[in-house]
Amino acid sequence: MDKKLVTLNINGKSVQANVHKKDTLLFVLREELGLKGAKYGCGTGDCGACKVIIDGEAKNACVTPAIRCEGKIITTIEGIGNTENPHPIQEAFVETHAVQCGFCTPGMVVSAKALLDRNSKPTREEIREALKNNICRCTGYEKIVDAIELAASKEVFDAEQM
Amino acid sequence: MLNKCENTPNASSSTSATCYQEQLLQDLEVSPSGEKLDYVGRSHKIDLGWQKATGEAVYLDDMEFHNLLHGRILRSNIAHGKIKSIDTSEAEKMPGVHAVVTYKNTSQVVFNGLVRSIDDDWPATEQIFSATIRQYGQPIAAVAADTVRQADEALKAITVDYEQLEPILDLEDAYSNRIKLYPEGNRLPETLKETGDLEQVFSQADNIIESKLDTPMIHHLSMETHVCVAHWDNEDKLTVWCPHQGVFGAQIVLSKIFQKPYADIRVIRTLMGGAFGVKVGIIAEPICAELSRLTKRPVKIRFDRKESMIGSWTRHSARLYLRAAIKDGRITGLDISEYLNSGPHCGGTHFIPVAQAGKLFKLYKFDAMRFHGMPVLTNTPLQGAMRGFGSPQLFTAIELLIDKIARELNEDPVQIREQYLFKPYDENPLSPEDVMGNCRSIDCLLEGAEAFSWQDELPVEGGYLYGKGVGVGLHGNGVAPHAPDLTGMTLYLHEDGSYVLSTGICDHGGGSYMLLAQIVGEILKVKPESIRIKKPDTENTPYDLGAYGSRNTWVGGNCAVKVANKMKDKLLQHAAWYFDTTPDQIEITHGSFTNSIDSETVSIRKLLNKVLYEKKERLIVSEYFSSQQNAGSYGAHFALVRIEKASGKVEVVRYLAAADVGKAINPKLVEGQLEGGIQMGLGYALSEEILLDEQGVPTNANLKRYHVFTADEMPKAIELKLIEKYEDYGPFGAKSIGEAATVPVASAIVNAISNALGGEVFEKIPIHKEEILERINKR
Ligand code: FES
Ligand code: FES
Repeated sequence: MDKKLVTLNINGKSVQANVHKKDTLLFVLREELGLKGAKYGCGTGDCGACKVIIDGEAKNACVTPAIRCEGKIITTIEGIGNTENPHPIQEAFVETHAVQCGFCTPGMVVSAKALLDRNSKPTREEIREALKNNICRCTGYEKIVDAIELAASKEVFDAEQM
Repeated sequence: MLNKCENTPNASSSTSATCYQEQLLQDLEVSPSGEKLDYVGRSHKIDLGWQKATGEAVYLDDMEFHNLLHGRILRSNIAHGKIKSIDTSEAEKMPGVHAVVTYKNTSQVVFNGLVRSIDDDWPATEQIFSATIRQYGQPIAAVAADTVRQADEALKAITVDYEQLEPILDLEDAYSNRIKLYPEGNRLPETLKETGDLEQVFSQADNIIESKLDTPMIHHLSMETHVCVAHWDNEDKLTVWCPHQGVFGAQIVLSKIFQKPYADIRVIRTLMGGAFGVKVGIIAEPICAELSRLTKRPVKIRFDRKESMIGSWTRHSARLYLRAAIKDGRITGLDISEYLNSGPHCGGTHFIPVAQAGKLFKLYKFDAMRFHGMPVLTNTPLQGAMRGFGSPQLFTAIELLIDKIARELNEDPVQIREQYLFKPYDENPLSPEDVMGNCRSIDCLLEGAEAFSWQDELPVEGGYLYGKGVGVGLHGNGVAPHAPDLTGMTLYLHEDGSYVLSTGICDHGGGSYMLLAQIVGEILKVKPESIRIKKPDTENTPYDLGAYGSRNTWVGGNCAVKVANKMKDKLLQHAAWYFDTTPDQIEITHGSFTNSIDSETVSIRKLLNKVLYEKKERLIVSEYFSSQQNAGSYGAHFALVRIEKASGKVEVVRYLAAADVGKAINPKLVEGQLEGGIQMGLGYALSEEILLDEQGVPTNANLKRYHVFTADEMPKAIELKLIEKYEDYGPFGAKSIGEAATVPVASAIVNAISNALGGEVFEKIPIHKEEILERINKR
């Protein structure tokens, strides 16, 4: 009754979902589409565990109504890389020991990706600023900032090799 | 492997910790017996790092269960009172609803959700549901439905009529028993420990310096909220999946609640999205089990953040009164009385003062000391184990007092501490059998002070005040001698040479599994990454007491040493049989064995297949380890703060932590613990506090209003200094770090703020900028 069929552009693919008007994008990703990489940490837009990129910006999927995402380009952690083919940011997170319990990590990687897409050479201060809506309780953020800095340097390095 | 000193861009602006540590690594690449270490002391990557970084790691909320129902909990909106009536009839008829539970149709067994043995007779007052309300957010009813939305709709249809009573929220008020939560009153078993002649020391004092500190309830904030799935199947067996820190403890409590044999209860630990102590007890599991008992279908309950904040545990709030005796310019006595908040039930709270006393008498040597811990029951949210288990409260209070004394005696904060800290192998004045071990608090203090340039003048900048502070503290290693500190492991060696280590120890997310694999790998000369870990499951892994009390490295590491050595002995015997020689002639290398007499070698695969088919033996060894010692892991932390005069805003511009870790089995994991502990301690000092109104209703139970430190607010420079002096009882000389990491943080910060404000005294944490501004304006 309150549901509507919507078409979403997720990770370069067009997918359909039957969405209740109150469903959040996080709910639809996790429960309807089986994309479980984005996590529930607070449901109020305050922790960043559920980050996805919408039209180039890192957004909290837990406070984004799915119904309003039609026509937008959505990238989730699954669209950034996977264990077979990880993204340099993900490699850097592992390399610098930026991962502990890992629950915040997908959201951190998503925020990092959105940042590096618009600023490929951020300063440490700019990295910290870009993470200010992402909570991590394990790492104290130090190694996460290291990871993003390393990823930024690697991406340039890769480009130079080509 | 990446060497961060060289490869991290802007190395100077990042941690210089790594540089100290590279230096140390070079010094410590051999064991004390002179053997070269291949894996211990190196920063192997955390277990499941790739899966976590790509979002492929599977936490419980990501798992699929056939026929799953979703449970939601109705919670009380008063803090103290009684349910006069509750009507669930409408809810039961709602679409999608399969079961509704209240106190009327569930187990009424009274239990303590934290007991660790069937014989523990700890104060027990908990019930799954009760008609008596003792805290805001107490579960009143629960619904299992096809969807979360349907369950939430059904909760709205339940009507409850309450009789409200005055809540008891203040600790001393609770201690007075003015209002009684229980007929027996509000007091829990107290702890009183004393050394020396306190009366005399205080009566002879020239001067007595007093202080007081109130510390807050804080939220653990494991990023994964509480979640559990229970399936009470049609064979009457209960299986529970949960990210639990102690599955065997959970099994015991569930067995008690449901009066079922252990054999009918299986608890499986799922991948943990952080814990910090909050996942030790029984929280949602029995409710989930009751919903499943009625439906015979698996039921999942996942808390929302607010439920995790007020419906699980918080760090125990406390009020501490301290007084110090001063004689001839020296501190001669310290007397501490503490009121400790337990919330409405005991759990393990009565052990907090016991644990605090165990550590208090291991820090400073005074002629006389007394500690009196008075835990009380109140109508606040439930208080429970949290990283540091009483140490942050206690040592923050002591360290603020030490600075107050230093100011009065006109002594330097570092120098005054140095005079009283215990030295390695000193005798523990409280209980000599509880050894001090190679305690390196003075090394932490002095080497930390030097690296921090403690003696340097404070920066001067218009519009700002600068201050520096130091804090010292410790946490323990395991729970000995207060409980049997037991863990077991089984090591399987397959015929192709691959290993499986089965353990009941739970990795909270900090990397304990890699650490255990490094130890086993070191002894058996096999790559840690190739060792599979079989994770806690009451049906399939050996017993462990629980992943708390900083046990994983200390107890787990020692058990890993023991089980790996047993396997090594077996292998040497088999190889000796193969070569027809004696075990002492065999050299074990990566993947093969060499007979030192003629240098003949045999591959592990060939040897094991021969052992299997000819000796009819497989290599499976088990060991149990029970720790008898409990060394201290010390730390000295240093902070430089900059306070904006116009706003009172505090910025921690520089932070240095020196940590007495014995030996860093995995230096990067140690750093990670310290950095995370600093983040938690900063919040404790400056922002984190669950607030209640006068009716006991939480007013900031969400992450908008409850503020934790984010990346942009962290100190720009965190430096870490690992003091690695080898602890005799530790595995490869190692000690714990996870809890010790956060103990000295708040005191270093608050002392720095006091220093910036010319010696202002604070009697409560966290300190908000409004209060600082007020003090600035008063000056
Ligand atoms: S779950 Fe979306 S911001 Fe926390
Ligand atoms: S790694 Fe655990 S919350 Fe960030």
